[in-house]
Amino acid sequence: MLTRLNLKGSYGNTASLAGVSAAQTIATFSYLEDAYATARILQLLALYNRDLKPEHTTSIDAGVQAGFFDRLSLDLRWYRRQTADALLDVPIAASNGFSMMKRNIGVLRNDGIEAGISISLPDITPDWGLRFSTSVAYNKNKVIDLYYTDKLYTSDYSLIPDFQIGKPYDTLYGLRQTGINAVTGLPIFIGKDGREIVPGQTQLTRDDFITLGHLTPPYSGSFNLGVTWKNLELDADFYWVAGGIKQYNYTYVRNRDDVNYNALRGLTQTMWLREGDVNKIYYSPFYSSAAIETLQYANTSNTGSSNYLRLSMLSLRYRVPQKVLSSTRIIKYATAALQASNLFTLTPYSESDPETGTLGSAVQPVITLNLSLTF
Amino acid sequence: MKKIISYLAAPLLLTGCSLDIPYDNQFTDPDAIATPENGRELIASGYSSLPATGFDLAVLSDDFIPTYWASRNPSLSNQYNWQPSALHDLSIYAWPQYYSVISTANALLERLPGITAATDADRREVADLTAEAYTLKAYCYFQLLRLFAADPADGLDNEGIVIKNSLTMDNLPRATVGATIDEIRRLLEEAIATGHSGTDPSWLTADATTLLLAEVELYAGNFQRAATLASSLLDKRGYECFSPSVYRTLWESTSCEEQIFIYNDPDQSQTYYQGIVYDTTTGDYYSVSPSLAMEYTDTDCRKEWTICPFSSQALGSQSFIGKYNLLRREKREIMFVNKMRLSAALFTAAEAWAQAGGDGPQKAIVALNRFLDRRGADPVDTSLSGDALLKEILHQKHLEFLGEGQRYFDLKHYSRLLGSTSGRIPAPGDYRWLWPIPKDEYLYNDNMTQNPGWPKDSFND
Repeated sequence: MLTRLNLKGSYGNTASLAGVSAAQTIATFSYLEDAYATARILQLLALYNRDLKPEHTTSIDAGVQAGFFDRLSLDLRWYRRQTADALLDVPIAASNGFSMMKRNIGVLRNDGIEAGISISLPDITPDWGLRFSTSVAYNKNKVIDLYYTDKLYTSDYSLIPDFQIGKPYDTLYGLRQTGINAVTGLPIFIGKDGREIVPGQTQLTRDDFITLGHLTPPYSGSFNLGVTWKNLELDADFYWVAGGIKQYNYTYVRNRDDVNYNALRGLTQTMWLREGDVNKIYYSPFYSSAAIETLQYANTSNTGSSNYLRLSMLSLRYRVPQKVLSSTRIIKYATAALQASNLFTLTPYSESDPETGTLGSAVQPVITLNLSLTF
Repeated sequence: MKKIISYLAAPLLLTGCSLDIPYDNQFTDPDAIATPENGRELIASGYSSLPATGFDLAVLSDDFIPTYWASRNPSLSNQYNWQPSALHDLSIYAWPQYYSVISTANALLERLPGITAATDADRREVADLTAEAYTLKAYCYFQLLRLFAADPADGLDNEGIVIKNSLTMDNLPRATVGATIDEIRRLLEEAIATGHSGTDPSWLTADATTLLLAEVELYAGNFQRAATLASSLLDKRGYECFSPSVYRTLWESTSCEEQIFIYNDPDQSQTYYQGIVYDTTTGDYYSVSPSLAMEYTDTDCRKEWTICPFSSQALGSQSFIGKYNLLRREKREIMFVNKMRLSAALFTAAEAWAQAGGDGPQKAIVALNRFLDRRGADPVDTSLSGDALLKEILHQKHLEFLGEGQRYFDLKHYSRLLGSTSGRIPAPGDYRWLWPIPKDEYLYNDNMTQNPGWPKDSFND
């Protein structure tokens, strides 16, 4: 019954300086287009960190793969990636002359498990073959240690620490919105103990925030279906993610200066514009600057689930039979394939691409035709 | 053969292409600052970053009164009325800017020893840069001290500001007022010892260092030394610098004999004093009070530059502030801002002499009358003495520096003498005389303390 058993394990150590520019580790000066008196201005670009170290990632992988009857295979894999000396741009005191600096902040851990099944039936009949596989992965992350603090905030307005020992570092916190106030046009937020938060008037505290979800989707998976008939092969790959949340960052057209942005269809119908407008979705474009602080936070209405299912690859391949090729005498092998990637994405994230958040950076379908000849 | 070629070609395919070539105009250490020219360009970025607070300080002082349009600018009205939110906004601009200049000066001081100075001219330039870096730091510390810390007369152990001597990330506590003054003095004396050979007022030359040291000594209460330093400048340049022909060029030229230090960045100076204008045809938000405007006699050469008469149906007859506002009204570009000029030396000497005792008050009156004579104004009463003399000197100083932001510091330093002239300007000892330490300092610096009366937010735990 058990035709094959593989046990796999690996251990790796890598270092990375990804995202670090020269200016962050060594004094880097750059000319501006401005001049002071008779001298062109040469500016120190950033407060460089003489003690900056590369990130060290230790990866451990362990997996087992079992094959049954030569047809069915099950595999299970566990991985852990622990990054020490994680790099991050953090705010620093203004008396240093600069507001941010890149530092090694602590130890972050990312681990998960993957399970997969694949069934391969290459010869159901002499002409037909079938292949099917599916896999599911679960990923979680956690802050293991922070070097010089136990809570790290990355901006003056953070009420919840962005990195806290023992907690995941991709959680999105926000406020709970229950609608648009018909009189003021501002959203109604419910905070701690059910109290109402009025934008611009109520001082927010940490307890007013709720956990909205994970920014990196914890669940992901794929399934692949392949069918062969004689010399034709049809393959379809699907990829899905689930469990993540993303803030909508579409620009809402609120005044004449924004009209160059594409507005959503029906935006003005669903935006509060004057007193008495009820059942609106988008809040008023006329708000006081005091309200901005509360409106900038994520909330239940301006975030959406970033789950998606994508047909990531569809291909049809034809292998030219040997009988045809041997008559040409020079061509040894020939295949022709039509391949399409990212044909469609199904997602409840209504306003744009769930992976990147903007229409402009969404992956576009690509169709290729390739012909390969071996002489 | 095919195999050999493919083995040789394979590595080429394996090398990843990384086009992380730095831009042509970015230079990194070591030897990024290799020549005196580079050093001059680096310090230019420090000078250019100096914050422009003159207008805001003038609004806070008693230079202006509101016009009919004042109510249309709530944020400027808040500032005029000394609302805490306005002072908070000024502090979050000024504090990081001054420290940015200080960090640039520190970066330069670290790299000056590494500059190769082959010729005499190069050596002179390196010495000049060293002196300027010290003076620039002292200048920033002095402004920060006067804005964020209590007057020395209230005690030298009160909290001053952060002294930053290296380009590293630190969370430093505030030094005391006394320690800050000592540091400023040390920097200026080192600058004087190094010596500066230049005369261009765009840079902090020897005269600027001397004047700054005189002002610091006056601020600290060392009247004799302040008077000596200030009068040495007056003797060096001469009272002819106060004559009408020179005054005319003070606002128009970058090489006027009265100028000691000017902020010479045309791009940044363009918007200076823009905040006072409501509309170029209908008027300004604030004007000069009639009683002040009347003090300029017709023979006073400062009148045409300081006061702009204006009348309209809405406002009646008004006197708007001139100087930079006048340049803008005449549609001329503001190319520079006068930060230090010889008049400051005169008034520093006069204030110091008036408080020094002995024959000081006499010398003060003589100097002041010589100055006023050049300006074309009426002389002061020679029988004045004591507090009355000091008040008169400060009043004449007010007329000289109207709208330039100097009056705020006098109101603060001499707050008990000048009293609170209206309910608007806070009484001596009010918490608003000390600006709040900004959030982006104390949130990340655990050693930082806030000035009394101001809130200190924290990340709620």
